[in-house]
Amino acid sequence: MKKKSALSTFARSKSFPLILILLVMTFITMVISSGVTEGAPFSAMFTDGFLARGNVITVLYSMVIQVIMLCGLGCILISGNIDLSVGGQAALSTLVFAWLCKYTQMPWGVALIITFCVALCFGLINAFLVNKLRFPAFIATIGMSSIYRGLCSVMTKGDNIQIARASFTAIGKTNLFGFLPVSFVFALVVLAIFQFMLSYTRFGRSIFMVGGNQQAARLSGLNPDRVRLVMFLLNSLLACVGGLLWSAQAKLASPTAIIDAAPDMQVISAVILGGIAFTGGAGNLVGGLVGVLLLNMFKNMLIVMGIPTYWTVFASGFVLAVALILDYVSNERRRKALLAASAAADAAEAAGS
Amino acid sequence: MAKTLEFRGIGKSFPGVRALDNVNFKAEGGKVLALLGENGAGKSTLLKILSGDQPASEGEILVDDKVTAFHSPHDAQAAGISVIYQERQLMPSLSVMENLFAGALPKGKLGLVDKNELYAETQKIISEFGLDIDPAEEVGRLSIANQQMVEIMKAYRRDSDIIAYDEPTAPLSEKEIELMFKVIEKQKAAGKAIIYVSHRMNEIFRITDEIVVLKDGRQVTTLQTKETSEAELIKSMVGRDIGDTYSNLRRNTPTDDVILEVRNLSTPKVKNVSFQIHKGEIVGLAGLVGAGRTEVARALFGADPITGGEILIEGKPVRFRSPREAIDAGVALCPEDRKEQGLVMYRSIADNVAMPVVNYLKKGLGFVDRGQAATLAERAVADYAIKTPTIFKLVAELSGGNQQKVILGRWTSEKVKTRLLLLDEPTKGIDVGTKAEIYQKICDLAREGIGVLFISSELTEVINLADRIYVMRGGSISGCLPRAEATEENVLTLAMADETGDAGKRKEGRA
Repeated sequence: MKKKSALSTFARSKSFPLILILLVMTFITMVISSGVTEGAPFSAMFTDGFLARGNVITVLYSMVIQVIMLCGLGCILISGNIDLSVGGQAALSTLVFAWLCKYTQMPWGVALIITFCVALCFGLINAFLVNKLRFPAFIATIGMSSIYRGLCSVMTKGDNIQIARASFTAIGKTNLFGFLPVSFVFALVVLAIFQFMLSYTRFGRSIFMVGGNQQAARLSGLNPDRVRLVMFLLNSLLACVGGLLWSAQAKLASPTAIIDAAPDMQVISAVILGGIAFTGGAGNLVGGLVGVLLLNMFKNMLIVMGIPTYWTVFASGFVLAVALILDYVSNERRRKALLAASAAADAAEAAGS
Repeated sequence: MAKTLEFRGIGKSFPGVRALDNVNFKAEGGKVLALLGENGAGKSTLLKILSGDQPASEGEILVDDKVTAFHSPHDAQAAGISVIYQERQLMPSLSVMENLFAGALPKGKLGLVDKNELYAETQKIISEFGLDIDPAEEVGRLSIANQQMVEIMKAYRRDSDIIAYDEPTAPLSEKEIELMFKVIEKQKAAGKAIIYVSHRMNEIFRITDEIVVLKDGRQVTTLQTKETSEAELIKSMVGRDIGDTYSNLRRNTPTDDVILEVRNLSTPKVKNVSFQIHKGEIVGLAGLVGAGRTEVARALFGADPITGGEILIEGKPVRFRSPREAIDAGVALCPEDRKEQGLVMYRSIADNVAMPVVNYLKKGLGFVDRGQAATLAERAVADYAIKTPTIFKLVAELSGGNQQKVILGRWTSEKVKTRLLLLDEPTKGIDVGTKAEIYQKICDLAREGIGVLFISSELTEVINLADRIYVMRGGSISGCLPRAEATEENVLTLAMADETGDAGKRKEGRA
């Protein structure tokens, strides 16, 4: 079996330049933020500023919800669909959970199960709109997103709901080795499981097939509607899990905080940076993870370098724009290379026959 | 174990269209049955019903004399039916092996996909076909011919008892066609029932046993291949004897006035192309697919940038930066792909005809004069005998031939003032009867003094229609043949000969 070496595959992948950019950025920030340029010892690079323990933990915590959402949204995008309602779903399901914890005496495990059921309903609604009523996923989910946001406000009248269950909030503040949040490790495990599913299981491959050409998949006897149903259910469940981990950190559920942070938009940007085709059929979650890392580290670097926050919003948009331009250029190159390969194959055949 | 497939009273209605009406025939195991008809006769609709993609409005399908209902492609496959579609249904970003085994990926340990088995099984099928394709290659990177072979292998892989081929040979070269015919012979010997749809008479006479002719959704006749002739088939397809299409044309006579002169035109894909077109002349541009013919037309139309050379229209040098400038100078292009580049499919005939001149149909405050647009469209419908109840019908609902007539009507409306008409494969996928009408129309336009550049891959057509033929090879013009010397052999020799001397390796045309 002809196999390309893992290293060369990696070097050609879209994640590769991103990782290089990431490393360079990290190094520069390490140097500047730790004060080495102003006479501090070199060892400060690894203890102060960007790599200071508190800062690393902050960055990792802020990424948990995004990494979890990435697993669902990444698969959804690969299958050629989109879900713009995950932020709303996450917010609403955490509110349901917090409400149950506050106003009932049930153990939080039971509240969790009820919340999961609510989340699955969200997924079911999306799947119904797209599969049965044949709405484009874009329209259906953007509509549902407003409904969820509205429900969040109606339910709380704008106030946060505190979560006072110590054993639940503990999940949000436990760190391994003093710097590695358990919830972040959990998110990575979920990501690994989903990546494995995508690469090696029949269901995972059918996600690629439906995304690669839905009609061809259908005519090959696959059922794109069923793939979509499962995808939307999984995605809603993951949105809910991501929201709950966020709540465990914040010890509250908020009708606005998650939605305002727009983790879904961040994830979609990251996923595109990481090489998942917006049109479906190609990409992987690891690339998406690199994208998430890049966006979050960049934002944090600006903060530790002391740049005012209102500039950081601008700058992260700017980075995304630059990345999309680079992406466009590399796509063009790839497209031309593909055309050339196909044409060369045609020519070789003409010459050989 | 031979299977039979029977259509009994099959009908299919779309809003306003009766696509199929009472179709009855039986395909028997161990035989190849040809399905023949003009475009729009209902062949593709019948295959869609067979594949479970669309339900029939009435009638039933019997497999081995048992009524079988299909609600999805999955059901049809379960009943042992595979359809190879004219429009390839592939997943370009996935590997050959995953395309072949989609929906039936081999299960290995723990229910995971067994990639080694998948690779080996795919390799086995590729070898049986005698092809040289890497099972792990992305399908989008294969040549078009090999992509088509992947489509054919998909059906082969399923080992269905009933296999329908919908114009499978269009993108294939002789080599692949031979390989495919061998596979069909093998399937036939194994007792499978095969339905073969094609426009190519030589293929039908070579591999089929029985022929069902459809016309306007109705079954006209069923013939034994051995007992019929090409002339009889065409007659029953068209419903009349079209005789010799070309000898009946009212020809044009070229003048001495040059309308277009191209000197050393170069683009990224075209090198030093020079030629002339006279008023009232039809100039053919022949060559293999990819020789640069389309690129010449696009460059002349201002659609692609020019890197060198000169274009003169009626002696005046021009350099179009956009199609708009070309249109204003009286140049028109009917592009190769009429659905993607020629028409706005979900707009009416009227809108499509008015498209290039909408700026000239102003009234009052810059509103479009719809009345004038309607007049243009009415005239196009009348001039070209476009079959439609009204000019407001969506172009997507017309047959291919009528769609092409809409494009021709657009460029020859009185508002456009076309002097030079560039036609890129204007009869591709169009039925025999409409083709003849289009040929006559092209001659008529030339008689009015328009210069025509006629690009076609169908040799008989270029040879019979053009006053002169330029032949292209590898982005350059390799020769010019006057009408008297234009034979298939001469054109092919120019199209395929190679100065570097390895001509022996290439095929010597069809001659």
